[in-house]
Amino acid sequence: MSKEASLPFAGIPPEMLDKTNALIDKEPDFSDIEVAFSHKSPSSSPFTLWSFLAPYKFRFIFALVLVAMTEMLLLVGPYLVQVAIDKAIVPKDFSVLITVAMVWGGSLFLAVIISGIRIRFLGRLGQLLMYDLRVRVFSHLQRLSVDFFTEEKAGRLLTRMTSDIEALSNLLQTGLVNLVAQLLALFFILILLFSFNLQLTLILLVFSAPVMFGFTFWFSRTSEKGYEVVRNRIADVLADLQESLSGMRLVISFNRMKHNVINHRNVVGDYRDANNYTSKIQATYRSGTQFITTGTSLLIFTAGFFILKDVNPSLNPEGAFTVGSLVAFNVLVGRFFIPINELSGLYNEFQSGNAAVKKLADLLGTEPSVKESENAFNLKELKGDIRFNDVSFSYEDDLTVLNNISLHIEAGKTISFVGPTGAGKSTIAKLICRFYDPTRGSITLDNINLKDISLQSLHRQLGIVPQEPFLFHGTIKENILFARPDATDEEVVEACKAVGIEDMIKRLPEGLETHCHERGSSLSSGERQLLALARAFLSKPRVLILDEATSNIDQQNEARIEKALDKLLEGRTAIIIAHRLATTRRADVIVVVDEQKIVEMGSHEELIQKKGSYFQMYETWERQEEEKREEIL
Amino acid sequence: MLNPSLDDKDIINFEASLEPVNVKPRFADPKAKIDQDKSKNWFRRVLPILLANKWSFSMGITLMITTMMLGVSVPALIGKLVDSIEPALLTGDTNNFIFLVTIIFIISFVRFFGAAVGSYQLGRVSNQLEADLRSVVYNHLFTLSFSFFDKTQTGQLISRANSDIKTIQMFLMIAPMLLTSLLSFAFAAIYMLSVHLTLALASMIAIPLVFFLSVKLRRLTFPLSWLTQARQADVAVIVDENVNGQRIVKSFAQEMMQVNLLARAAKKLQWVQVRSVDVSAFYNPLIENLSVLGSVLVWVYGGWLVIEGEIALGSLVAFTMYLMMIQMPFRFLGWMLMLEQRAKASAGRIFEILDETSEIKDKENIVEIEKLKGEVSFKNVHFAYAEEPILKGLSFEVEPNETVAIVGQTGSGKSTIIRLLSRFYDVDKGSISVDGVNVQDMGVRNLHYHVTQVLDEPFLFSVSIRDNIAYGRPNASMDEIIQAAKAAEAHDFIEQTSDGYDTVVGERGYTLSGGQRQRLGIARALIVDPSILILDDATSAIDVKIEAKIHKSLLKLLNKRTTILIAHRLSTINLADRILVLDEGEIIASGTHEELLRDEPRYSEILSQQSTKEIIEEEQGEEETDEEYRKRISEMLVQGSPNDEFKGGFDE
Repeated sequence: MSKEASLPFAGIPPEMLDKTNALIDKEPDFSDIEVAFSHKSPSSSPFTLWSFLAPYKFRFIFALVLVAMTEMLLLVGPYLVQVAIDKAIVPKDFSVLITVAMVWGGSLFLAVIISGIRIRFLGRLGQLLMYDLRVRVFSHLQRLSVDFFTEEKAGRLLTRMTSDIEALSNLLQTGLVNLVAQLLALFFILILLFSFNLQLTLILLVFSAPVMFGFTFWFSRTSEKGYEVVRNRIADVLADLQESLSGMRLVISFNRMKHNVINHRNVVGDYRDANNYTSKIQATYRSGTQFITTGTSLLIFTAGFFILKDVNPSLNPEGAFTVGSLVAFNVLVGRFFIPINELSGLYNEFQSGNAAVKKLADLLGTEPSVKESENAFNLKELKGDIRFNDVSFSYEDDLTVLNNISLHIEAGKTISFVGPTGAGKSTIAKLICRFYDPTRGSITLDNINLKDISLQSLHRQLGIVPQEPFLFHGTIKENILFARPDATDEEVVEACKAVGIEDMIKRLPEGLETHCHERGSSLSSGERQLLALARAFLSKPRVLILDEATSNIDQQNEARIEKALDKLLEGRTAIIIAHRLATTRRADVIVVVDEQKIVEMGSHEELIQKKGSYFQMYETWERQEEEKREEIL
Repeated sequence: MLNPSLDDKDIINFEASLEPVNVKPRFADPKAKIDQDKSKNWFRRVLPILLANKWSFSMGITLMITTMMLGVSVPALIGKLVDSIEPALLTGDTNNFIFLVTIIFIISFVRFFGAAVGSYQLGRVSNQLEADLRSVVYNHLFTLSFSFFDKTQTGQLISRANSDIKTIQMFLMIAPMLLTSLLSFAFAAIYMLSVHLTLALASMIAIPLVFFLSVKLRRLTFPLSWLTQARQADVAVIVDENVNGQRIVKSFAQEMMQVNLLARAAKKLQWVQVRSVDVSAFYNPLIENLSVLGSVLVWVYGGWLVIEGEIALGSLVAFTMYLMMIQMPFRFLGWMLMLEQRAKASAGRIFEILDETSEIKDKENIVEIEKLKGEVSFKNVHFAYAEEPILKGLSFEVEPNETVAIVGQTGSGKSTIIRLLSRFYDVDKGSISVDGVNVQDMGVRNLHYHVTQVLDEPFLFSVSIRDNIAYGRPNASMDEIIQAAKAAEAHDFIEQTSDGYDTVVGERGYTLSGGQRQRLGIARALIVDPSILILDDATSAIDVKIEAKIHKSLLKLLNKRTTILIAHRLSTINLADRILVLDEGEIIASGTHEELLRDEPRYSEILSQQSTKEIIEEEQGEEETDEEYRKRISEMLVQGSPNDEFKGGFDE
């Protein structure tokens, strides 16, 4: 049935911590779990509910057998009530009662065991499926190319991995199983009911069943919508509270208290009204079903009474309809409504489950734009010789970014790309990393086409430091180790030394074990950038790419970075994309890119002498630097 | 003491302009607050809010009890109905049968209405209570001083105001319903005992077991469902990081490691969910079938009694119906008891906020100043946030309409000065006065009416640009808003946004650059036309050329008011008539830029050091903490809360 409006998870409340910690203590160690991962998609068939369930079909069949058994056991009671009345109480035969008691008791005992097994088996199966699906979807995400991960998609991808998988799980565990279980139950009950009395069953089917079904259907639809409103309203309340708290200084200093208090009251009032609406529906439904149930009993008694009246009691043959049958029939009517209610409530689950399947199929059906070729091979030791052969590139929207670029970067050399924003400098770096494939032309590494190299071995030997250093949740050490998880502690310390951050790390409360995102230990963007450099250093790449990695750095860290670069660039091919021409100067070759093309190329001195566009850029930059220095003094 | 030059009408207008309001209340204010007496237990402290709705509450309770009693009569009547069939068939007199059918139908119908209205009333009361508690907590936050917010994290406050209030609401909705249904147990038990003592006792034999098992079940599932949520959040964190940091993952070829990381987190989630499955696989079938065990006893033992002629078949039917009725509340009783414990803990956390009082309060006799000349004076001011003293005997004066720049290193106390002037904190020693009146003798609102500050990182609300600018004067005209925007050089870029002045900005809207945000911050301050304007590094992120333009318009505006600038850009400092050099909580020099360059060596030292340090500071401020991060993630999730298990059905 409809889910209660749920609030965002705000952490485990302190009073529950003891108990949850005790649970965690019992948790097995899962740290050695290894999952196979390859850039090649394991299956090409589209994701459907059927293809997803197919490998588990025998388990599902077994589960359905259990379901059928429990549903039948549930009906033993009502059936035995009829037996007790007709065969024991009315004929005054006590021995039959003993048999009834024993059979009933036995069935209860069986029911405890079988439904226990059913819940356990189905629950475990469902959780296993969810685990598989989580890993499968996530692995697929890892296979997709960089262009897929835009900022706007982040939230949606998260929903795929959480609520969509959850919805699918609900569809399987409660939806599908319940559908089968309740249909079976309905079927068995109808057989029993018909065997008791044909007319009464027909009355039940014609009058009561549609009313109950319609009423529950109305309820599950309306309350779903009602809770949707509640969820939106509570989101408004929390957003308003959040804003008031974040902007508390402004609220106070602009004397907005009264205004905000009234406004919050309005938002809270709307939330209350939404809650009242669902309360109203709930109250109506709960007392409504009670009324329908009692009403149906009365209907059956009245109809049964007139049926009995037509039968001549003196001619009452064996197995005919009796008062006892009528009472037993009534007991069964209560059971009859359970599948009716459950079935009409399933609609929502099916709807959201279906939508989830579609969305997941969409995601799993998305092909990576950069694919690993069938016979891609692992590159052993890379020298770092890079060639661009007539490379053109445009993003989806036909906007040409690079036009016929040819270029040779010799192994071990440092090459720097400069040019105005949007000239295509960063694209060159992305192409070398094979985040994208060129639209035309080819790129070779040590004279091997990039497309023939496995992505894994390519990326292992490339190190890229992007403009925005991304730090994961975890300690500084874990973040540095990210590049090479098997590196030793000494190597980590060495990497820190190489980029000159060891003293900064020593200053932190817990040194290398300090969490990157915790209050009080937050790092400046310069320090984060240096951390990213240490990470790149640790991975010992053959080709190092600095994609505007030094542009956000403050003066304090500038000298450190330049020093770190000395170490970093030593003995490897390096590609530097930079705004700050101080970093550029050190390159063996400087490439000026403008309007999708290479405009100039040469060493710093050569280009200065040439007095072309690099010379102009350099002059302006120097002037700006001078101004900055003056401004401070 | 009021300003003698004001007549009554002006006082009312002035009162209104102190706290401008531009929103119409659509709902009545909460009628009550919590009980101030901390020694009372949590329920009695919340009681006043509940009692504020006593009419709805008592109506709900009365209706629920009445319908419960009506409900209790139904099985007995159906029993009678069953027993009336045989005689009616034999005698052909159907009157009694038809009478009973009619009576039961009427009772059910009345009960239907009564129960619907009654439980709706109780639901409404609990919803009202939740809304009132939310408002009470929200309103209380504004009465607190900044030292409270310094020591409390925003995320924590929101979680309290959020799930804790909801927990209390849940309890107060469930408890009355459950208690009335327990009342029905009493009536049913009396009926059953009066019909047949031993049969009644035999049929109730399983109830204590059902109760015990369901308490046990709740106790086991509660921590499990919390841990499940925590594990779901862990999975979400990994997914979010991998989406946002995908380039890093790819460029270091760490896909496999990340997949393993997720697999482990998903395994942990699977583990805790399987534990929940196991618990319910054990307890649920037991509880379900034990409830039926009573029915077996009733039919067998009762059947024998019918054969013996001790009771009628109808009574037997009534018995089984009662049995169903009375077992339900016991299944939920254990849950209610657990909920009570949680509600108590939640209420405790809410009270912690509500029991907090502000150190900064208006005095009994406040001085109201309608027009301020703008003279500021700090006399021997001492101040410390916690232990560490920030200001040690600071004294300075600012003349009306003077523009003064305060220059000093990070930590020298610049920002503290403006916080004290706005009376966000009270001084430890010494005094601060405006126009010769101690700020502690003024109304806080009155002080804020005259003193406005613009910070370097202006917070923008998720409303339109227009509403952000008009924040301090919500009823400002469009012309005034545009004028302010023009003075802050914001008009041009505002016009270029998609919806112009109606563009929604902030967290949930259009993203503005730091410089654009600062310009809106300046416009927001200019529109309230304060007598004392404080600019705390307010143009630090603005392009030098645009800054020059803003300065041009500011120069005109600054001459009309007292202005205090905190800046490190020379271009900003140049606006000042006088510069105060602050070092370690004291003014060490005062004069013009040239004078200070000549006479005070530490002045140029401070100027050159400032820039880099402040840049780092700024960035640290933006850092997202672990807690905030998790909160953001969890908001993206729609999850069931442990409260979901109640789907409203114990009295069916």
